[in-house]
Amino acid sequence: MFALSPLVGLGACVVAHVIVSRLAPAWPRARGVIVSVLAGGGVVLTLGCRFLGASAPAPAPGGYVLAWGLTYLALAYTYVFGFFNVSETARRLRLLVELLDAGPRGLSLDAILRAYNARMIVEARLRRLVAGGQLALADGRYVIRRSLGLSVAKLLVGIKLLLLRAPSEFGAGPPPPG
Amino acid sequence: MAAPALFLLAFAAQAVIWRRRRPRAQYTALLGLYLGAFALVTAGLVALRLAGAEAARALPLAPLDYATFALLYVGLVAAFGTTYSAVQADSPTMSVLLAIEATGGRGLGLAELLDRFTDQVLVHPRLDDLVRGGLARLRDGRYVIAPRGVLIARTFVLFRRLLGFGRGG
Repeated sequence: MFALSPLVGLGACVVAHVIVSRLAPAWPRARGVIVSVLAGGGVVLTLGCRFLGASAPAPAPGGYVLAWGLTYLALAYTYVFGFFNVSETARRLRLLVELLDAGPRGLSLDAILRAYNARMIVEARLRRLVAGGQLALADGRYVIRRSLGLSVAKLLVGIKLLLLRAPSEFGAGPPPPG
Repeated sequence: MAAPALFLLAFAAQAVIWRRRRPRAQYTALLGLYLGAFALVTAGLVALRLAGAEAARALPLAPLDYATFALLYVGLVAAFGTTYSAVQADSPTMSVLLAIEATGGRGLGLAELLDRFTDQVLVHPRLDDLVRGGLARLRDGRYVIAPRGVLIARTFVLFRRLLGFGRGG
């Protein structure tokens, strides 16, 4: 059962996230996420300590706890960036929700762009980047303030160069026709 | 060590395949590749266990070992799959940061950013993705959500309601 502690931790993280978001709606979203991930991590750590404390027959029990910790971090990363952040920022999902609201008649391109367009996308990102301290607005121009986001962006460019042989989806061209 | 090693091997295989010919259904191919590697290794472990091979002692054969190995591998693949969405499609946040950095400290104004990041760059490709991925259909010049799209959209709408949040994007 101890091997499932990363999943238990992930469950605790999600429950904590719902509770925190409901009880403290004024908190910045990033703070709610950090508190939730820490809560799940605490559960994994507690289970790991119980495993170490039990007279476990496994050799090198610390190795298991380390592996469960890493697994929890990977799962929590997936929840935060693959699920929560997708619901928060993903363009495809936002477009799907607009189409869901439109019902079976759907929407023309013009109607879609009235509801959701590049200006809205760029302005929302700039707001978040300034609020998160990654950008600063000086004399009407946005400048880099902290390098963390930029480092992540450069890492992604590296992976794109490795897998797509281009620094951007546009340089890579579309996938081959099926 | 076995799970990260297998993940790195599968990643190397992906790099080779993707550089030669990027699959059209990228996520399906990604899932097939990484789960295929996992299934192959699991079959190998079963075979080694049945053969009682001495060399298999260091491999995750006991139930606790195998569960730890399997969950860590699945976690790594899930985390990579999440990251891959920002590789397959440019993230506007990352693109904005890179564009501002490229000015060498001069920075960019809102109008300059909007000139670069137009609907053609930020919205049209994602609509194409929805159609290509079977989540929406283009019918008589109108985009209509498909059943799979309804399922995904409703799941996320429900999730955000649970959190008490409004529409994202």
